[in-house]
Amino acid sequence: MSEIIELELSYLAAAIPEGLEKCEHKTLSDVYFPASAAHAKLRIRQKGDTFELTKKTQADPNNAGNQREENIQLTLEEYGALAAGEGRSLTKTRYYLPYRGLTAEVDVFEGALAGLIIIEFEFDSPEVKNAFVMPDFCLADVTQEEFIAGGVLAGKSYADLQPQLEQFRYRPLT
Amino acid sequence: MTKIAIIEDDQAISQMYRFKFEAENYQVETAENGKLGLQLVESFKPDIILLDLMMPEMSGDQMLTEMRKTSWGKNIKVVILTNRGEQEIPPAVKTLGVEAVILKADMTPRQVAELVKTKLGIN
Repeated sequence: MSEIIELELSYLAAAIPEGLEKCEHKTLSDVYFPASAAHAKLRIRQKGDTFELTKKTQADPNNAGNQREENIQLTLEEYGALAAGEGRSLTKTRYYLPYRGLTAEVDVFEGALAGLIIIEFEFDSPEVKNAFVMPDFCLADVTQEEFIAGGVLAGKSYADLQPQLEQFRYRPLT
Repeated sequence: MTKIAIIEDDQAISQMYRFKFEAENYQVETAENGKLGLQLVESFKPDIILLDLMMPEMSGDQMLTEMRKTSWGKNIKVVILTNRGEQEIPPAVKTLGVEAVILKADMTPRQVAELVKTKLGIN
């Protein structure tokens, strides 16, 4: 099992970043458990031919941008058995966009969440994170907004999120 | 025992549905493209097929077109699995007698299993 602390910032996209289609990208299929939880913290993920189980918890109770991730690699069979259970799923394409020495993870959601694009940056230190300035292709910092967490988004539609997104003047992007 | 064939090139999705339907006491067989799917369906004679559209070798819509020309495949119930939007489904698919089109990302295995039961009239 591996454990990491992530220092991250999350933004709603203002526009599709230029050159995104040329960036390295992967389809991510997530299933969150339990389905009944408003904000599920346990996830299985398929990324290409790799599968993992992740428990994500807030490392700092006052800051959703500091997340502890515990990961276990799964076999295809283990993934299939767990995915057959009662979870809530989402699928997105993650693009890895180079940006000023960092990598923006641009998540383009599919299916019922199509139109939603969330951009995340991860940082090596709090100093770098605190000094970071939001790029032009981002609309609003939503790091502390629970509604953009994967464990909340899974199983929802774009229409479900519309009231929260409109508070940030977000418009669907395709 | 009710028989279901899962024709899907994504092994994770295929495994997921295999576990779900085996837990519901179905006899399950899988194939990873339309070409192998045709061979499987002819020999296995399933009551219903979960059929992916985008697959290598032979796509789901090609397989469906070929299967509907046969005596053994013209009446088998088919549920389409896709990640495409409704508007991107090949028009031929809708004219070949499918029971339902499922957006994979939007339905849980339990919901798919319930839909299959409904289509088979075993609810």
